[in-house]
This record gives sequence, structure tokens and C-alpha cells, in this order.
Amino acid sequence: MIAAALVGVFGVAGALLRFGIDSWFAHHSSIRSIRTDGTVKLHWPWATLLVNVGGCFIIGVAHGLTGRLGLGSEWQVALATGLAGGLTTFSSWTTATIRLLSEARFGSAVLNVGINLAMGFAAAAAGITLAG
Amino acid sequence: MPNGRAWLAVAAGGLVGSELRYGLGLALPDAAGAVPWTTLGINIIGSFVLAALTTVWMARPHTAFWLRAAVGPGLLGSFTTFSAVIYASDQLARADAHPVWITYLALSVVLGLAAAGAGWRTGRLVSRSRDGQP
Repeated sequence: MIAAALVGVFGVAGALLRFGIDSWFAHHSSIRSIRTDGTVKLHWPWATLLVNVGGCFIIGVAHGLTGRLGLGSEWQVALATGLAGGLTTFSSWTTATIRLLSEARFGSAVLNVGINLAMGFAAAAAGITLAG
Repeated sequence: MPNGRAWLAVAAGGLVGSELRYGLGLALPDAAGAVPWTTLGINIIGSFVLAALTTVWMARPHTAFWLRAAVGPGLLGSFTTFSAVIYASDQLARADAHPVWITYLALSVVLGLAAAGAGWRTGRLVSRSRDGQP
């Protein structure tokens, strides 16, 4: 019961943080999208990359940290399933990749898949090492 | 930046999405050392629905922003998870279960993208037929 409540609170926190980062990137790219030389800046899912890498670091840290601080397993669930799960997103990652493919931006699509995976694994490993 | 209603909508959607994912994980727990099928299913379903809604909303840009925020970044963003895929793959690799983590990662990427692609097309077809276009 406590774990379910913690997942809710931390999941909402992760979702709001992701929405804030997404909105920040959308706002700043829209400012920069109109350039004096007339070129339009192409969208690229930076915000999703950032939240996914950040969330992989958090889930890596979660296990070792809760053990070290002597916290119960419900806190590990809160950080891993709640915070990291709410912060990261799989559906936006795949949908953004399909959007890039639909615009015939094949290199960007491949890069979006590869860089999320590579940096996600590196961030998770860094978190595990740091907290372990 | 978005208004208060949009933030509240994301919070509500995020609560439902996180609890749904947590609840499914309790109801259908992923077995240790095996492909986490529940997480895989969640991510495939979420990819299909988000991509379908994305093209529907592109065709209907007047859909209320708070509603899109509640369902997209809120519900589906929180329901699906990237960190669990990476963490489970990392743990399986550390346990030398190499065929398992490679299968899991390949299925996640291939089926996730296929689901998003199918959703993208479905959303387009749905909005075209509704608007009476060929």
C-alpha cells in the first residue's frame, strides 16, 4: 500500500519534470526556429533524450542508494518504478523516431535510436557504479 | 510555458499511467532471468496509442491542449518506460544471460517502432476517413 502511494507521488513528479523539460525545449527551439538567413531549424527530440538518460541514471542509483541509506524496498520501488519510470518515456521515443522516418530523415532516426540506447546504458552503469 | 491547467492534467495523467504500469507489474510480474514481457507489452501498446493520437491531433490541431497534455505526456509518457528496459537489460547482461537481454532489447526496439509506425498510419487513416478525404 505504501509502495503504491510512493509510486504515485514519484511518478507524478517524474511526469511533471519531463513535461517541464519538454516545454522548455519546445519554447526555446521555437524562438530559434526563425533565423535571419531564412533557414528553419529542424526539430530533434532532445528533451526525450535528456529525460531518458537522466532516468536511466536514477534507476541505476536507486538500488545501491536505498540499501546504503537503510531504506525499505518500497523506496527502491518509488525511485525506480515511480521517479525513473515516470520521468523516462518509451512511447515518445518510438513516436519521434517514426516522425523522423516520415520526414525521410533516416540518419536522424537511426541516431535517435542509437544515442538513446548508448547513453541510457552508460548512465545506468554510471549510477550503479556510483551508488554500489 | 504551459498554463496551470496543463500541468494539472499532466499530473493526473502521470498518476494514472504510473499506477497502471505498477499495477500491471504486480498482476503479471516479470520472471527473473527471463524477458520482461509485461514491460515489453506496456511499451508496445503505449507506442501504438501515442503515435496514433499524434497523427490524429496533427489533423485536429484544435484539440484542447490540456487534454493532449493529460493523455500524451501525462498518461502514455508515464505508462511507458525507457529506464526499466535499459536497467533490466543491464542486469541480464551482468548475469551473463546474453541471449535474453539481446532478444529483449531487439524486441523492444523492433516491435516498439513497428507499433508506433502502425499507430502513425492508423491515426492518419482514422482522421482522413473522418474528414471525408480520400
